[in-house]
Amino acid sequence: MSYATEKSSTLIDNGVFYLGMLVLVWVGGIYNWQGWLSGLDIGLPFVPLFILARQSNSKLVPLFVLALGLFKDVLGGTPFGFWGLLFITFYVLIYAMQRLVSVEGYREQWMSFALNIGIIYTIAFAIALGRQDITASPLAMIISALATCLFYPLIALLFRLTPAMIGEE
Amino acid sequence: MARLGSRGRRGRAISATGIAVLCILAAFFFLVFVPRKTAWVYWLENKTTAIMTPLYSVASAPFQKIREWQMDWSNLLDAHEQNEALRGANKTLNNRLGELDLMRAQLKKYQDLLALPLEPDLRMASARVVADLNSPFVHTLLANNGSRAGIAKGQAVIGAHGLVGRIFSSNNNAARILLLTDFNSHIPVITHDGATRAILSGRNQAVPILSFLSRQATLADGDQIVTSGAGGYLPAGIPVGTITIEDNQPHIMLHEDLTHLDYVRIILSAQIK
Repeated sequence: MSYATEKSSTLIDNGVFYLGMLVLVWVGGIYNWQGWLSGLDIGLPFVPLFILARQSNSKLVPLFVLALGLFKDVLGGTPFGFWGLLFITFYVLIYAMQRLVSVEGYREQWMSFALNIGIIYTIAFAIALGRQDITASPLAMIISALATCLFYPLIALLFRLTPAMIGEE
Repeated sequence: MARLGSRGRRGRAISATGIAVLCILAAFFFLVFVPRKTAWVYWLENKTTAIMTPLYSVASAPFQKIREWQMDWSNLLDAHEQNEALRGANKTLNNRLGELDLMRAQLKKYQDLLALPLEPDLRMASARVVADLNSPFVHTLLANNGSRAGIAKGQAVIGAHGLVGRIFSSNNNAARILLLTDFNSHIPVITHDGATRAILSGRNQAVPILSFLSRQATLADGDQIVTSGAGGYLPAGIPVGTITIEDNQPHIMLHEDLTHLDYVRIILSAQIK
Protein backbone atom coordinates (compact mmCIF):
# COMPACT_ATOMS: atom_id res chain seq x y z
CA MET A 1 0.00 0.00 0.00
CA SER A 2 1.46 3.36 -1.02
CA TYR A 3 1.80 6.35 1.30
CA ALA A 4 -1.06 8.15 -0.47
CA THR A 5 -3.31 5.13 -0.06
CA GLU A 6 -2.42 4.86 3.61
CA LYS A 7 -3.29 8.52 4.13
CA SER A 8 -6.60 8.12 2.30
CA SER A 9 -7.48 5.00 4.26
CA THR A 10 -6.89 6.88 7.51
CA LEU A 11 -9.19 9.56 6.25
CA ILE A 12 -11.88 7.18 5.08
CA ASP A 13 -11.86 5.53 8.49
CA ASN A 14 -12.56 8.96 9.93
CA GLY A 15 -16.04 10.47 10.22
CA VAL A 16 -14.77 13.80 8.83
CA PHE A 17 -14.67 12.28 5.36
CA TYR A 18 -18.33 11.23 5.51
CA LEU A 19 -19.33 14.54 7.04
CA GLY A 20 -17.52 16.27 4.18
CA MET A 21 -19.56 14.29 1.67
CA LEU A 22 -22.79 15.32 3.40
CA VAL A 23 -21.67 18.95 3.33
CA LEU A 24 -20.93 18.69 -0.41
CA VAL A 25 -24.47 17.42 -1.07
CA TRP A 26 -25.90 20.20 1.07
CA VAL A 27 -23.71 22.95 -0.38
CA GLY A 28 -25.19 22.40 -3.86
CA GLY A 29 -28.20 24.45 -2.79
CA ILE A 30 -26.20 27.63 -2.14
CA TYR A 31 -25.64 28.42 -5.79
CA ASN A 32 -28.26 31.13 -6.04
CA TRP A 33 -25.61 33.84 -5.59
CA GLN A 34 -24.57 33.28 -9.20
CA GLY A 35 -27.39 33.01 -11.66
CA TRP A 36 -25.43 31.29 -14.41
CA LEU A 37 -24.95 28.21 -12.25
CA SER A 38 -28.67 27.91 -11.79
CA GLY A 39 -30.06 24.93 -13.65
CA LEU A 40 -26.82 22.97 -13.46
CA ASP A 41 -26.09 20.14 -11.09
CA ILE A 42 -22.38 19.94 -10.45
CA GLY A 43 -21.79 16.55 -8.88
CA LEU A 44 -19.21 17.57 -6.29
CA PRO A 45 -19.99 14.56 -4.02
CA PHE A 46 -18.82 12.26 -6.82
CA VAL A 47 -15.20 13.24 -6.08
CA PRO A 48 -15.05 11.88 -2.49
CA LEU A 49 -17.24 9.02 -3.68
CA PHE A 50 -14.53 8.20 -6.22
CA ILE A 51 -11.87 8.22 -3.49
CA LEU A 52 -14.11 6.15 -1.22
CA ALA A 53 -14.84 3.53 -3.88
CA ARG A 54 -11.13 3.18 -4.67
CA GLN A 55 -9.99 2.83 -1.07
CA SER A 56 -12.69 1.31 1.07
CA ASN A 57 -13.81 -2.30 1.37
CA SER A 58 -16.23 -1.70 4.20
CA LYS A 59 -19.62 -3.39 4.00
CA LEU A 60 -21.45 -0.36 5.34
CA VAL A 61 -20.08 2.07 2.76
CA PRO A 62 -22.59 1.11 -0.01
CA LEU A 63 -25.40 1.71 2.48
CA PHE A 64 -23.95 5.12 3.31
CA VAL A 65 -23.62 5.94 -0.39
CA LEU A 66 -27.25 4.98 -1.01
CA ALA A 67 -28.38 7.03 2.00
CA LEU A 68 -26.37 10.00 0.70
CA GLY A 69 -28.08 9.79 -2.68
CA LEU A 70 -31.51 9.54 -1.06
CA PHE A 71 -30.66 12.55 1.08
CA LYS A 72 -29.86 14.50 -2.11
CA ASP A 73 -33.22 13.36 -3.51
CA VAL A 74 -35.28 14.59 -0.57
CA LEU A 75 -33.28 17.80 -0.40
CA GLY A 76 -33.45 18.62 -4.10
CA GLY A 77 -36.94 17.30 -4.84
CA THR A 78 -35.88 14.78 -7.47
CA PRO A 79 -37.80 11.46 -7.61
CA PHE A 80 -36.94 9.34 -4.59
CA GLY A 81 -34.14 6.96 -5.55
CA PHE A 82 -32.89 8.97 -8.53
CA TRP A 83 -29.60 10.21 -7.05
CA GLY A 84 -29.52 7.16 -4.81
CA LEU A 85 -29.30 4.96 -7.89
CA LEU A 86 -26.74 7.21 -9.59
CA PHE A 87 -24.49 7.42 -6.52
CA ILE A 88 -24.51 3.70 -5.85
CA THR A 89 -24.01 2.89 -9.55
CA PHE A 90 -21.01 5.23 -9.68
CA TYR A 91 -19.64 3.61 -6.53
CA VAL A 92 -20.02 0.11 -7.99
CA LEU A 93 -18.48 1.16 -11.32
CA ILE A 94 -15.36 2.54 -9.64
CA TYR A 95 -15.23 -0.34 -7.17
CA ALA A 96 -15.38 -2.91 -9.98
CA MET A 97 -12.98 -0.99 -12.22
CA GLN A 98 -10.46 -0.74 -9.40
CA ARG A 99 -10.34 -4.51 -9.24
CA LEU A 100 -10.00 -4.94 -12.99
CA VAL A 101 -7.56 -2.18 -13.91
CA SER A 102 -4.90 -0.67 -11.72
CA VAL A 103 -5.17 3.11 -12.11
CA GLU A 104 -2.35 4.74 -10.16
CA GLY A 105 -1.24 8.04 -11.76
CA TYR A 106 -3.04 11.28 -11.00
CA ARG A 107 -3.91 11.97 -14.65
CA GLU A 108 -5.17 8.42 -15.14
CA GLN A 109 -7.33 8.74 -12.04
CA TRP A 110 -8.74 11.99 -13.31
CA MET A 111 -9.48 10.42 -16.70
CA SER A 112 -11.09 7.43 -15.04
CA PHE A 113 -13.22 9.82 -12.97
CA ALA A 114 -14.22 11.77 -16.08
CA LEU A 115 -15.13 8.61 -17.96
CA ASN A 116 -17.36 7.37 -15.16
CA ILE A 117 -18.95 10.78 -14.68
CA GLY A 118 -19.79 10.69 -18.39
CA ILE A 119 -21.44 7.30 -17.92
CA ILE A 120 -23.38 8.43 -14.84
CA TYR A 121 -24.71 11.61 -16.45
CA THR A 122 -25.70 9.60 -19.51
CA ILE A 123 -27.63 7.20 -17.25
CA ALA A 124 -29.21 10.21 -15.52
CA PHE A 125 -30.26 11.61 -18.88
CA ALA A 126 -31.67 8.24 -19.95
CA ILE A 127 -33.70 7.97 -16.71
CA ALA A 128 -34.99 11.53 -17.21
CA LEU A 129 -36.05 10.60 -20.75
CA GLY A 130 -37.88 7.52 -19.51
CA ARG A 131 -39.86 9.27 -16.80
CA GLN A 132 -42.86 11.50 -17.11
CA ASP A 133 -42.18 13.66 -14.05
CA ILE A 134 -38.68 14.89 -14.88
CA THR A 135 -36.80 15.96 -17.95
CA ALA A 136 -33.34 17.32 -18.60
CA SER A 137 -31.74 19.49 -21.21
CA PRO A 138 -28.80 17.71 -22.87
CA LEU A 139 -26.76 20.92 -22.81
CA ALA A 140 -27.25 21.38 -19.05
CA MET A 141 -26.25 17.76 -18.53
CA ILE A 142 -23.09 18.10 -20.60
CA ILE A 143 -22.07 21.33 -18.85
CA SER A 144 -22.82 19.78 -15.44
CA ALA A 145 -20.69 16.73 -16.27
CA LEU A 146 -17.82 18.86 -17.59
CA ALA A 147 -17.96 21.15 -14.55
CA THR A 148 -17.91 18.11 -12.27
CA CYS A 149 -14.74 16.88 -13.99
CA LEU A 150 -13.13 20.33 -13.74
CA PHE A 151 -13.83 20.48 -10.00
CA TYR A 152 -12.10 17.13 -9.45
CA PRO A 153 -8.59 18.49 -8.66
CA LEU A 154 -9.87 21.04 -6.14
CA ILE A 155 -12.26 18.76 -4.27
CA ALA A 156 -9.84 15.82 -4.36
CA LEU A 157 -7.12 18.08 -2.96
CA LEU A 158 -9.41 19.27 -0.16
CA PHE A 159 -10.34 15.73 0.78
CA ARG A 160 -6.74 14.57 0.64
CA LEU A 161 -5.51 17.51 2.73
CA THR A 162 -7.86 16.72 5.58
CA PRO A 163 -5.96 13.70 7.03
CA ALA A 164 -2.77 15.75 7.25
CA MET A 165 -4.67 18.40 9.18
CA ILE A 166 -6.19 15.79 11.46
CA GLY A 167 -2.71 14.34 11.97
CA GLU A 168 -1.37 17.72 13.07
CA GLU A 169 -4.05 18.03 15.68
CA MET B 1 -18.22 5.48 11.36
CA ALA B 2 -14.69 4.32 12.27
CA ARG B 3 -13.38 1.03 10.95
CA LEU B 4 -16.56 -0.34 9.48
CA GLY B 5 -16.36 -4.05 8.78
CA SER B 6 -13.25 -5.79 9.97
CA ARG B 7 -13.14 -9.25 8.39
CA GLY B 8 -10.50 -10.61 6.05
CA ARG B 9 -9.90 -8.78 2.77
CA ARG B 10 -11.32 -11.46 0.45
CA GLY B 11 -14.54 -12.14 2.39
CA ARG B 12 -15.04 -8.45 3.01
CA ALA B 13 -14.75 -7.54 -0.69
CA ILE B 14 -17.36 -10.12 -1.72
CA SER B 15 -19.74 -9.00 1.02
CA ALA B 16 -19.31 -5.34 0.16
CA THR B 17 -20.03 -6.10 -3.51
CA GLY B 18 -23.15 -8.04 -2.58
CA ILE B 19 -24.39 -5.24 -0.39
CA ALA B 20 -23.65 -2.72 -3.15
CA VAL B 21 -25.71 -4.78 -5.62
CA LEU B 22 -28.56 -4.96 -3.08
CA CYS B 23 -28.32 -1.17 -2.69
CA ILE B 24 -28.62 -0.75 -6.48
CA LEU B 25 -31.73 -2.91 -6.45
CA ALA B 26 -33.16 -0.93 -3.52
CA ALA B 27 -32.53 2.39 -5.28
CA PHE B 28 -34.04 1.02 -8.48
CA PHE B 29 -37.09 -0.14 -6.50
CA PHE B 30 -37.51 3.31 -4.92
CA LEU B 31 -37.16 5.01 -8.29
CA VAL B 32 -39.59 2.77 -10.14
CA PHE B 33 -42.17 1.81 -7.53
CA VAL B 34 -42.31 4.75 -5.11
CA PRO B 35 -44.35 7.56 -6.66
CA ARG B 36 -43.10 11.08 -6.11
CA LYS B 37 -46.20 12.13 -4.21
CA THR B 38 -46.16 9.25 -1.71
CA ALA B 39 -47.07 10.55 1.74
CA TRP B 40 -43.93 9.36 3.52
CA VAL B 41 -41.63 10.76 0.82
CA TYR B 42 -43.48 14.06 1.07
CA TRP B 43 -43.11 13.94 4.86
CA LEU B 44 -39.41 13.14 4.56
CA GLU B 45 -38.87 16.04 2.14
CA ASN B 46 -40.71 18.41 4.45
CA LYS B 47 -38.73 17.35 7.52
CA THR B 48 -35.44 17.61 5.64
CA THR B 49 -36.18 21.10 4.33
CA ALA B 50 -37.37 22.16 7.81
CA ILE B 51 -33.99 21.16 9.23
CA MET B 52 -31.92 22.50 6.34
CA THR B 53 -33.61 25.88 5.81
CA PRO B 54 -32.05 27.62 8.86
CA LEU B 55 -28.65 26.31 7.77
CA TYR B 56 -29.21 27.58 4.23
CA SER B 57 -30.37 30.94 5.62
CA VAL B 58 -27.10 31.37 7.46
CA ALA B 59 -24.92 30.05 4.63
CA SER B 60 -26.54 32.11 1.87
CA ALA B 61 -26.35 35.43 3.78
CA PRO B 62 -22.75 36.33 2.80
CA PHE B 63 -23.36 35.37 -0.84
CA GLN B 64 -26.45 37.55 -0.85
CA LYS B 65 -24.38 40.46 0.47
CA ILE B 66 -21.82 39.92 -2.30
CA ARG B 67 -24.60 39.98 -4.88
CA GLU B 68 -26.01 43.19 -3.42
CA TRP B 69 -22.57 44.79 -3.71
CA GLN B 70 -22.28 43.58 -7.30
CA MET B 71 -25.67 45.07 -8.13
CA ASP B 72 -24.87 48.36 -6.34
CA TRP B 73 -21.61 48.62 -8.27
CA SER B 74 -23.20 47.90 -11.64
CA ASN B 75 -26.00 50.40 -10.86
CA LEU B 76 -23.39 52.99 -10.01
CA LEU B 77 -21.54 52.39 -13.27
CA ASP B 78 -24.54 53.11 -15.47
CA ALA B 79 -26.30 55.61 -13.22
CA HIS B 80 -26.23 58.29 -15.92
CA GLU B 81 -27.94 56.11 -18.55
CA GLN B 82 -30.46 54.89 -15.99
CA ASN B 83 -31.24 58.46 -14.97
CA GLU B 84 -31.90 59.46 -18.57
CA ALA B 85 -34.11 56.42 -19.13
CA LEU B 86 -36.04 57.13 -15.92
CA ARG B 87 -36.62 60.76 -16.93
CA GLY B 88 -38.05 59.55 -20.24
CA ALA B 89 -40.21 56.92 -18.57
CA ASN B 90 -41.44 59.44 -16.00
CA LYS B 91 -42.49 61.83 -18.77
CA THR B 92 -44.38 59.10 -20.62
CA LEU B 93 -46.08 57.86 -17.45
CA ASN B 94 -47.16 61.36 -16.48
CA ASN B 95 -48.73 61.75 -19.90
CA ARG B 96 -50.64 58.48 -19.43
CA LEU B 97 -51.95 59.23 -15.92
CA GLY B 98 -54.92 61.16 -17.20
CA GLU B 99 -55.67 58.39 -19.67
CA LEU B 100 -55.56 55.81 -16.85
CA ASP B 101 -57.97 57.80 -14.66
CA LEU B 102 -60.42 57.86 -17.51
CA MET B 103 -60.04 54.10 -18.10
CA ARG B 104 -60.43 53.33 -14.37
CA ALA B 105 -63.71 55.22 -14.33
CA GLN B 106 -64.86 53.33 -17.44
CA LEU B 107 -63.84 49.99 -15.94
CA LYS B 108 -65.77 50.72 -12.75
CA LYS B 109 -68.82 51.58 -14.84
CA TYR B 110 -68.57 48.32 -16.84
CA GLN B 111 -68.03 46.22 -13.70
CA ASP B 112 -71.11 47.78 -12.13
CA LEU B 113 -73.06 47.11 -15.28
CA LEU B 114 -71.98 43.47 -15.46
CA ALA B 115 -72.07 42.96 -11.68
CA LEU B 116 -68.69 41.21 -11.87
CA PRO B 117 -67.45 39.65 -8.63
CA LEU B 118 -64.30 41.44 -7.56
CA GLU B 119 -61.12 39.65 -6.55
CA PRO B 120 -61.00 39.37 -2.78
CA ASP B 121 -58.38 41.45 -1.01
CA LEU B 122 -55.32 39.34 -1.43
CA ARG B 123 -53.23 38.68 1.64
CA MET B 124 -49.51 38.31 1.11
CA ALA B 125 -46.58 36.80 2.97
CA SER B 126 -42.95 37.58 2.20
CA ALA B 127 -40.06 35.18 2.21
CA ARG B 128 -36.37 35.19 1.41
CA VAL B 129 -35.02 32.66 -1.05
CA VAL B 130 -32.38 30.77 0.90
CA ALA B 131 -31.53 27.88 -1.40
CA ASP B 132 -31.50 27.33 -5.10
CA LEU B 133 -32.26 23.63 -5.59
CA ASN B 134 -32.24 23.93 -9.36
CA SER B 135 -30.70 21.16 -11.37
CA PRO B 136 -31.16 19.90 -14.92
CA PHE B 137 -33.96 17.73 -13.51
CA VAL B 138 -35.86 19.95 -11.11
CA HIS B 139 -36.38 23.72 -10.90
CA THR B 140 -37.27 24.58 -7.31
CA LEU B 141 -36.28 27.13 -4.70
CA LEU B 142 -36.41 27.04 -0.93
CA ALA B 143 -37.90 30.03 0.91
CA ASN B 144 -37.54 30.72 4.63
CA ASN B 145 -41.21 31.17 5.53
CA GLY B 146 -43.82 28.46 5.81
CA SER B 147 -47.15 27.33 7.16
CA ARG B 148 -46.61 29.44 10.29
CA ALA B 149 -47.32 32.47 8.07
CA GLY B 150 -50.23 30.73 6.33
CA ILE B 151 -48.24 29.49 3.35
CA ALA B 152 -49.71 26.30 1.86
CA LYS B 153 -49.38 24.08 -1.15
CA GLY B 154 -50.67 25.54 -4.42
CA GLN B 155 -50.40 29.24 -3.53
CA ALA B 156 -49.00 31.63 -6.12
CA VAL B 157 -45.51 33.05 -5.65
CA ILE B 158 -44.69 36.42 -7.20
CA GLY B 159 -41.58 38.53 -7.50
CA ALA B 160 -41.17 42.22 -8.20
CA HIS B 161 -42.19 41.89 -11.86
CA GLY B 162 -44.55 38.95 -12.08
CA LEU B 163 -45.35 35.34 -11.36
CA VAL B 164 -42.50 33.11 -10.19
CA GLY B 165 -44.27 29.82 -9.58
CA ARG B 166 -46.34 28.19 -6.89
CA ILE B 167 -45.81 26.53 -3.54
CA PHE B 168 -45.03 22.85 -3.92
CA SER B 169 -44.75 21.97 -0.23
CA SER B 170 -44.47 23.80 3.06
CA ASN B 171 -43.66 23.18 6.67
CA ASN B 172 -43.52 25.47 9.69
CA ASN B 173 -40.55 27.56 8.68
CA ALA B 174 -39.89 26.77 5.02
CA ALA B 175 -41.60 26.37 1.70
CA ARG B 176 -40.48 24.80 -1.55
CA ILE B 177 -41.35 26.82 -4.65
CA LEU B 178 -41.98 25.05 -7.94
CA LEU B 179 -40.74 27.49 -10.58
CA LEU B 180 -42.63 28.22 -13.80
CA THR B 181 -39.75 26.64 -15.71
CA ASP B 182 -40.06 23.26 -13.96
CA PHE B 183 -41.27 20.37 -16.06
CA ASN B 184 -44.15 19.77 -13.64
CA SER B 185 -45.40 23.36 -13.70
CA HIS B 186 -48.62 23.95 -15.66
CA ILE B 187 -50.34 27.30 -15.14
CA PRO B 188 -53.55 28.45 -16.88
CA VAL B 189 -52.88 31.74 -18.62
CA ILE B 190 -54.63 34.14 -20.96
CA THR B 191 -53.43 36.82 -23.33
CA HIS B 192 -53.75 40.36 -22.07
CA ASP B 193 -56.64 41.13 -24.43
CA GLY B 194 -58.47 38.02 -23.21
CA ALA B 195 -58.65 36.48 -26.67
CA THR B 196 -56.56 33.35 -26.17
CA ARG B 197 -56.39 30.89 -23.29
CA ALA B 198 -53.60 28.35 -22.87
CA ILE B 199 -51.49 26.47 -20.36
CA LEU B 200 -48.01 27.72 -19.56
CA SER B 201 -45.84 24.62 -19.35
CA GLY B 202 -42.30 24.47 -18.01
CA ARG B 203 -39.76 22.17 -19.63
CA ASN B 204 -36.73 22.55 -17.34
CA GLN B 205 -35.31 25.22 -19.60
CA ALA B 206 -35.14 28.97 -19.15
CA VAL B 207 -38.10 29.63 -21.44
CA PRO B 208 -41.47 27.90 -20.88
CA ILE B 209 -43.92 27.31 -23.70
CA LEU B 210 -47.66 27.62 -24.25
CA SER B 211 -49.55 24.37 -24.65
CA PHE B 212 -53.22 23.43 -25.18
CA LEU B 213 -53.68 26.33 -27.58
CA SER B 214 -56.78 26.27 -29.73
CA ARG B 215 -56.25 26.02 -33.51
CA GLN B 216 -57.91 29.38 -33.98
CA ALA B 217 -55.52 31.10 -31.59
CA THR B 218 -53.68 34.03 -33.11
CA LEU B 219 -50.61 35.10 -31.19
CA ALA B 220 -48.07 37.73 -32.05
CA ASP B 221 -44.61 38.63 -30.85
CA GLY B 222 -44.85 40.94 -27.88
CA ASP B 223 -48.30 39.85 -26.67
CA GLN B 224 -48.50 39.94 -22.89
CA ILE B 225 -49.84 36.98 -20.94
CA VAL B 226 -51.29 36.93 -17.43
CA THR B 227 -52.75 34.24 -15.20
CA SER B 228 -56.32 33.39 -16.17
CA GLY B 229 -57.44 32.24 -12.74
CA ALA B 230 -59.01 29.16 -14.32
CA GLY B 231 -59.42 26.34 -11.84
CA GLY B 232 -59.60 28.78 -8.97
CA TYR B 233 -56.14 28.10 -7.58
CA LEU B 234 -54.32 31.22 -8.68
CA PRO B 235 -55.65 34.78 -8.80
CA ALA B 236 -56.40 36.12 -12.26
CA GLY B 237 -54.36 38.89 -13.82
CA ILE B 238 -50.88 38.26 -12.42
CA PRO B 239 -48.38 39.31 -15.11
CA VAL B 240 -46.39 36.33 -16.38
CA GLY B 241 -44.43 37.22 -19.50
CA THR B 242 -44.23 38.23 -23.13
CA ILE B 243 -44.79 35.97 -26.13
CA THR B 244 -42.04 35.40 -28.65
CA ILE B 245 -42.69 33.16 -31.63
CA GLU B 246 -39.84 30.84 -32.58
CA ASP B 247 -40.31 28.11 -35.19
CA ASN B 248 -44.09 28.61 -35.04
CA GLN B 249 -43.99 27.75 -31.34
CA PRO B 250 -45.00 30.40 -28.81
CA HIS B 251 -42.32 30.81 -26.13
CA ILE B 252 -42.72 32.97 -23.08
CA MET B 253 -40.06 35.41 -21.97
CA LEU B 254 -40.86 35.64 -18.27
CA HIS B 255 -41.04 39.06 -16.64
CA GLU B 256 -39.27 37.70 -13.60
CA ASP B 257 -35.63 36.65 -13.75
CA LEU B 258 -35.85 33.32 -11.95
CA THR B 259 -32.09 33.03 -11.58
CA HIS B 260 -31.74 36.14 -9.44
CA LEU B 261 -34.49 35.95 -6.88
CA ASP B 262 -33.79 37.21 -3.38
CA TYR B 263 -37.23 37.94 -1.97
CA VAL B 264 -40.62 36.68 -3.07
CA ARG B 265 -44.21 37.23 -2.01
CA ILE B 266 -46.76 34.49 -1.60
CA ILE B 267 -50.44 35.14 -2.23
CA LEU B 268 -52.06 33.49 0.76
CA SER B 269 -55.64 33.18 -0.44
CA ALA B 270 -55.83 29.45 -1.11
CA GLN B 271 -58.87 29.34 -3.38
CA ILE B 272 -59.77 32.41 -5.37
CA LYS B 273 -63.29 31.97 -6.65
